[in-house]
Amino acid sequence: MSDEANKASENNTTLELFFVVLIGLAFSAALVAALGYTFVSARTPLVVLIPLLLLIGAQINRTRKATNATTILSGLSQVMRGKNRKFNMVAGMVGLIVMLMLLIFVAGHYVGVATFMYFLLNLISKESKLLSALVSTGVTAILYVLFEIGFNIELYRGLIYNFLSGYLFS
Amino acid sequence: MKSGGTMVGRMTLISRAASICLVSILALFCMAACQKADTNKEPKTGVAAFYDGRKIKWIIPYSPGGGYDEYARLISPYLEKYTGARVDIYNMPGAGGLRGNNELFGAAKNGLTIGSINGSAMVTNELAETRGADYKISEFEFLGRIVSDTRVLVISLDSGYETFEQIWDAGEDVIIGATGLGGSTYVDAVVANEAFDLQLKIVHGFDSSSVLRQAMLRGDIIGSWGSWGSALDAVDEGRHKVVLQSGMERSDDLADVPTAFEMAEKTPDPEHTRAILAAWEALHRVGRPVAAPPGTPPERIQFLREAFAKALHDPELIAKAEKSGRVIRYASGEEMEQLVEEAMQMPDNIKQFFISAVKGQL
Amino acid sequence: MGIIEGMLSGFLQAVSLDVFPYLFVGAVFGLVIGVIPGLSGHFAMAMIIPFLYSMEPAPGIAFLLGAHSTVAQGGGLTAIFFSTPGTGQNAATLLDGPPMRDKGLGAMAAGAALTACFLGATFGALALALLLPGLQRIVLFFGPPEIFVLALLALTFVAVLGKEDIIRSLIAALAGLLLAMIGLDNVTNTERFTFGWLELRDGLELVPVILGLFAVAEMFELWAKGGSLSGTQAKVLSTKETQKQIFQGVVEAFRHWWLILRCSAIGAAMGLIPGLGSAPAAFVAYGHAKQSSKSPEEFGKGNIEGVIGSEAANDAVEGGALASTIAFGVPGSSSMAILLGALFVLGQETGPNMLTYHVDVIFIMIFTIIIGNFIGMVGGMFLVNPLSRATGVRASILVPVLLVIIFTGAFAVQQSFFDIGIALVFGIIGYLMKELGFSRAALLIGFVLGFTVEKNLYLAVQLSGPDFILDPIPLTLATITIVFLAYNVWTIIRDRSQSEPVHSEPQE
Repeated sequence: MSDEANKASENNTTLELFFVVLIGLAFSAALVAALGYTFVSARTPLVVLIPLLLLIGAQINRTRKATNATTILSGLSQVMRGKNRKFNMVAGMVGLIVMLMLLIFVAGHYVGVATFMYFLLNLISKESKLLSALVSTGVTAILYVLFEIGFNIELYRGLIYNFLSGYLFS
Repeated sequence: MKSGGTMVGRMTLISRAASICLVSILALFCMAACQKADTNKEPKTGVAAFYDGRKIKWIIPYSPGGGYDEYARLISPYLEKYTGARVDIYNMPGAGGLRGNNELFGAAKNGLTIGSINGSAMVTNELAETRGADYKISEFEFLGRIVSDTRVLVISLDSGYETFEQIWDAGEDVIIGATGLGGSTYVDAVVANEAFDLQLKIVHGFDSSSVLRQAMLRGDIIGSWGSWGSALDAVDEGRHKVVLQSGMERSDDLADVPTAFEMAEKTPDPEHTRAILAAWEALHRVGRPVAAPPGTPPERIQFLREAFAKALHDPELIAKAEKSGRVIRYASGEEMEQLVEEAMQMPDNIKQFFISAVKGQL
Repeated sequence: MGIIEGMLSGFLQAVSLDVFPYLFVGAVFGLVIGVIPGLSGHFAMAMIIPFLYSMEPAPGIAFLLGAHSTVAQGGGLTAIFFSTPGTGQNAATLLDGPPMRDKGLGAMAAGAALTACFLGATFGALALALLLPGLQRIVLFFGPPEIFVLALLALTFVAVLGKEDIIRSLIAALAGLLLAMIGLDNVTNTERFTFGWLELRDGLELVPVILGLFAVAEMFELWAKGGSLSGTQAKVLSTKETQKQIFQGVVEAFRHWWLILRCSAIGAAMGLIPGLGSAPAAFVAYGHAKQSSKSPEEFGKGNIEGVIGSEAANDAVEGGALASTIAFGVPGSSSMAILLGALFVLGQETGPNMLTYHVDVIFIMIFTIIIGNFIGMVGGMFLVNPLSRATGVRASILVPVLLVIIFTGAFAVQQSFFDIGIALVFGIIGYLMKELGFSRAALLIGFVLGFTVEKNLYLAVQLSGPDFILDPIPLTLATITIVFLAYNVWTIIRDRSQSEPVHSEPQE
């Protein structure tokens, strides 16, 4: 394997280690929760959780063997220093989506969605202002026509709109 | 991220985007224009003017296709006719109806949101203080009731049983099916068990009333409780039979079927039985009301109540409802308030009984 | 009236001037709904119900079923071109459809998918027709014990799908099972794993999960990679090339007629069983296609048989569901529940009476499905070119736009803001799973079947006691399951000893 492919594969192993440990923790928490349920309720989750945790343990072992402390640390430091491209792109996108959700929650679906698109197109991808504006308004308009008028599905209105219509803040 | 490739590439992209934009904005204008054209030309005064051309949101706490949904879709054109507003049905399923009820309770108080309520479930949920029930049923502004529930016990004729008395004598051999724990079919079965000391085995966990019907045909269960409306087509087939109905008097379509109250006379302690049945009946009379959130201005409530009453008495609607097999049993908003109060006022021991039934502790 | 008479009458009515326009409009409508992520067959039908109040039975039924039958075809197209399943049923198409697009064979996949859908639906409808006399007995066949074992059997297909890396696949499948248990346990009404959130009381909604796992994850990947969806083929196919490919796809589908037959049978059979839903059928058919293929290792990398198998099954499912709906008025799926309600509105009764007195109506339904699917197939082909060109648009534009559409669709399922969050969370999970080689298909199967398995186990035990497994039918089915599982385990061990342990590689 080429050096680059090697690096990628090593990074993936480190990633997997973290991933598997994380889900192991999550499911262990689930196990603890399940033990608190009545027997009939807990029965099936336990039947599923026990083999699951064993398998996760096996996978952790397997991944651990395929790597070593130096690789892990170097991979980690790469990510921290912002050198890992994939991580940056995906994490950045996740962050943007979270902001999209906040925006939708506050200002409503249409505002959120249009802003999100414009932001991504113009400020992140450096597309021209004209194109960004056209695409964001066009797609938002199509969504409106399709969902609100066509299907009669009301998309989320957002806190501001609801407040203005006399909503109780609950 | 680098910017777009060649100049030509970008220009084609821009022109395409522009055309999409243009088309959609045009479409938007068309739609808006069409809507404006629909509204009535006569000027209206007062409250009617407020509702003229506006949009009323009707929340249904269940998914499309169910009984509540069907009633709403049947009625909404007539509501539109008598309010002058557009009525949009909004399905909000979840948590067995709680989600829609909560949404209705906290909705804007401008009279533009109304909702259907599963009356009996709402009362029992509030009594049992079910977690997540963020409403107070007495605070809703009721517009009126669409129909009250008639609950029936349906059994499969293949089981060999034909009357309620036979089942009464049978005891534990008889298996009754129910859907969710604490749901209406379950509570019905438990109530009947308690009232008549039936000792039937109740198996819950079936997905829906149609799965129950299949189980009856298979012979897995002998019968189940349900609303008369949903039992309707199964009974027509001749393989199922209604052996008991709730209610103080026999309803017209079920003239040969004894009511629970009649059967109460044959129990060792008729008074106790009647007390339970009375509370049960009070729940049924709450039925399926439509309501607006608390705090909606009284003039608008009045207007909506009148429109609702007119809609439900419209001969066209009644004819259509009959054709689709949906019964309408109207009660006014004021009557609703009273019915709800009656339902909430059970004697303590009976209230405890219902609460345990809903919680599935029985 | 007799069957032949009914058949003729049904056919003539279906193509008559009163009825056909509705069929056509319905079919096109269904296609469009299918393309939009988050909206599914039962949504299309719910939208049509208000119109039915003033219609006669025949056009009303044609409208409804016409719309319903084409939804899966539309969904298949978006699954292939945008890795976004238009409906839950198309989830299995995601396994081989997008890889084909990446290889530049997207149009061929689309042609094959549309054709397979059409053939599968026809099979399903014909099966319904043939089974009519014995329908009642067949539908009654399946009670909780049988459903339980069948669901287990479907679960073991995970072993087939995840042969390459059994530990990772099993982790995914078991995790899926657990995810299904989130929500109110319907035996004791205890809330499991809900953190007290009202939104989780009913569990995770399927469509946002699928959208997240497969569509959002794909968007993340595209975003990280840059470039465009059509992958390394920098040039987008010309119209001529696209048409040629579609044709090739159609031919391929016909060439694999035996596979289509088998997968349709699987689909129709699973449709008969109430409560299983259409997504498992597609996966089971996919698993079967993989097993019986001459090149199983190509599956997941763009083997057309995977596309054909899953699409054939997901349309045949509705034929089976229709069968059980008609026989007793017991709906086999949520869209069938709506159909029942609609039939009621139209004044049409179901059940044995329908079979005796209204056979022609049943045949209207059958012909509507066949003709509707045909219209969908042809209409879909017109959509292939624009869709395929759209995949040439670069990631910087496509990703934001598609993400917006996906999240809107996720919201639209239950009008719930929470579902957008679910789609995001599963998007992250899906991306990680794809990068690290965990089978998302296994997770999905576990998720879809988990609840069915638990609930039916409980019911079976309640109704017939723990020894229900010893009754003849469950016992036979259980034996088949065990044999199947053993065979697969044996092949895994055999293959394992011939190769080395695997490092994690991006897979699927």
